[in-house]
Amino acid sequence: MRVLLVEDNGPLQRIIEKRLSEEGYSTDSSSDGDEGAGFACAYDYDLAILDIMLPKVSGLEILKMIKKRNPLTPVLLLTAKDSVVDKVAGLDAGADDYLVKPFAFDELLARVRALMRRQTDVEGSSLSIADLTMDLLARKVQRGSKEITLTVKEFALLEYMLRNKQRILTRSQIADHVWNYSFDSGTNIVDVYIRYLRRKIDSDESQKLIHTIRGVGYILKEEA
Amino acid sequence: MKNLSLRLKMTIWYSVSLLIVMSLMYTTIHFVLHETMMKNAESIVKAYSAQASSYIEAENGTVKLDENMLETKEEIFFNIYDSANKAAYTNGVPDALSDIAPNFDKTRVITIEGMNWILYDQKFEEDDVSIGWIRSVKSLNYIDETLKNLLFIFLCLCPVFLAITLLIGYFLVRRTLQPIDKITTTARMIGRGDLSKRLNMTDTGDEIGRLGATFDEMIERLDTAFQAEQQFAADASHELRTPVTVISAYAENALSDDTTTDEYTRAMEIIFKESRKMSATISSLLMLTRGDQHKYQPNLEWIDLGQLVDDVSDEMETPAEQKGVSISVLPHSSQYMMLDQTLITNLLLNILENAVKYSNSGGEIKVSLSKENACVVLKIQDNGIGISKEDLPKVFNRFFRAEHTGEKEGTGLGLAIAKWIVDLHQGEISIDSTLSVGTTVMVNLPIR
Repeated sequence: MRVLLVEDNGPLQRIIEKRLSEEGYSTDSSSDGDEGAGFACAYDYDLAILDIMLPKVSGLEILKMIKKRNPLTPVLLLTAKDSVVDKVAGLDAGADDYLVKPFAFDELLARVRALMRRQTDVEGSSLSIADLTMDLLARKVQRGSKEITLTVKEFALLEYMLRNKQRILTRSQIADHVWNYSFDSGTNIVDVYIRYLRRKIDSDESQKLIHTIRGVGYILKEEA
Repeated sequence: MKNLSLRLKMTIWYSVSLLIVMSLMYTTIHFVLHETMMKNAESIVKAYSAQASSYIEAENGTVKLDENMLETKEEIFFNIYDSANKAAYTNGVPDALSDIAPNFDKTRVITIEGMNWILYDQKFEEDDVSIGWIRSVKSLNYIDETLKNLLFIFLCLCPVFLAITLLIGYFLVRRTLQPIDKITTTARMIGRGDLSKRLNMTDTGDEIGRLGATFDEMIERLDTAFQAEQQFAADASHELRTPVTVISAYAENALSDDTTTDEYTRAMEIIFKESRKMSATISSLLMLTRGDQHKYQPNLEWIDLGQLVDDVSDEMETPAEQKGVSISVLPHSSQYMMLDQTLITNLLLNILENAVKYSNSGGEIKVSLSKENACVVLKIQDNGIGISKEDLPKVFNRFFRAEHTGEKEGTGLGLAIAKWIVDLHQGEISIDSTLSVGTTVMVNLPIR
């Protein structure tokens, strides 16, 4: 899941980015509104976390840009002030949720999960296909009764595919949602990661879940 | 003293020390000379006294003098007294000295009217009976004269010596310090931005020579770093401008009225291809920039490197086969270690893509993984076109492409990124290559 983070406080930005990347989100982070707006116009993010008070371009401006590009992209606003005016302005501009600083990181991560859930119509905290289940809270994956250990990025890739199961995903879609801007979608890193994932979830099974669509990309589906 | 030049300070120290040494020398010479001459005068007086006593006889209680004694040598004067202390005979002794009470067998120095005299009294005895005594006197004027001369010579010569040594010292110091002035001037020029300047001092092997050599080495490194920085900026804009030029040319052409559908399609294909190329370059640049700013936080996990090597090699098999190149992975065991999976995958892809790209049809690529001490050694060996000796040190430079490779695809940043990834894992990467024989890439990763 690719997340845009715009926060002008350097240390706070770095720690949020670190926590998000540990959770397997690929994050593009920026400390000024101008650069943040640039990111917002360039990619379709799965989620955006925006500070309202930003240098150059305000968080509300970026929020409007994101909603114009894709009204379904969930946006979480961070506000330093516990003022009703700010919250109302934010929510009216299309924000899906807000968090008042200072906040606990666990709460931030929980709200991020909640917003993701809302976006993909997933109930609860688990995703599944056939006998493969993914527990988003415990970060555990099971195929049948067998537990599968995945790396952070493998987990993120599988999560993205599970959220978009039965849908064909192109290499660049996958690259854009699982990695951040500093990884070139032109290399075959996506193919290598699909290979890693296949070995772990499909190799010993008769029913394969990951399928290659030649010349296009990949799909996660149960074969009829 | 603080604001004086080093040259003047050294000269002053030099002269002061010289003055002290010369004064010490003068004092020593003065003392030794004085002592020696005094001893000499004493022995002369004593010897004369002894000789004189052999010429004197007593006759009926009076002292009789031999005529030979009158021939005084060595400017010695004497008085002869009888047993009643009455002067029986005088020969040139000043009156003031004649009246002094006798003090036998001892030399004394008496000063009269500013003149120093040495005095010696000796008894005459015959059959153990005193018959009188002799007082021998010698002027010590000559000693004072000599010492006065010495002082005069010293006072005359001292300024001359001092002036000569000062002059020599000043020039010597100037000669020694001249390179330092040169260093200062050059440093000032470099400070103004001219990094091409060098001291180029002749290697004298001394401290200053070493300082000069060190200085030149430092500037050389700075210059190289600066040039690399400028080259990088120039290369980056070139690398990005080229695809933009192609894109705008094809777009402009496609927008003209008489474009056919085929031409449109062709233009769009090229625009797409070029934009991918640009995107790849920009991503790589961003990655390296983030790496340079130490902003990248590696996501280290406990991963089996052997598995990654197998998977990436398998993945590369298809593109390799299309070129008629085979990839063989030598048998190896699992190597679990702390790695950033995405970065290491990128690294393996990078090296293997290069190996395939620069292999000829029918080429072989061998991949091996082994454990040596606390390191895992990854070797990727091809028998492709190789890298020339001149190019080998430059392969890790950003945007470097060897000339003989022709129009190969790629950003020219692959190996620079590979090096950054290995550095981030505290490992080492090296390349060994011979032109038209093949290339071996070695990666050493410490197990942590």
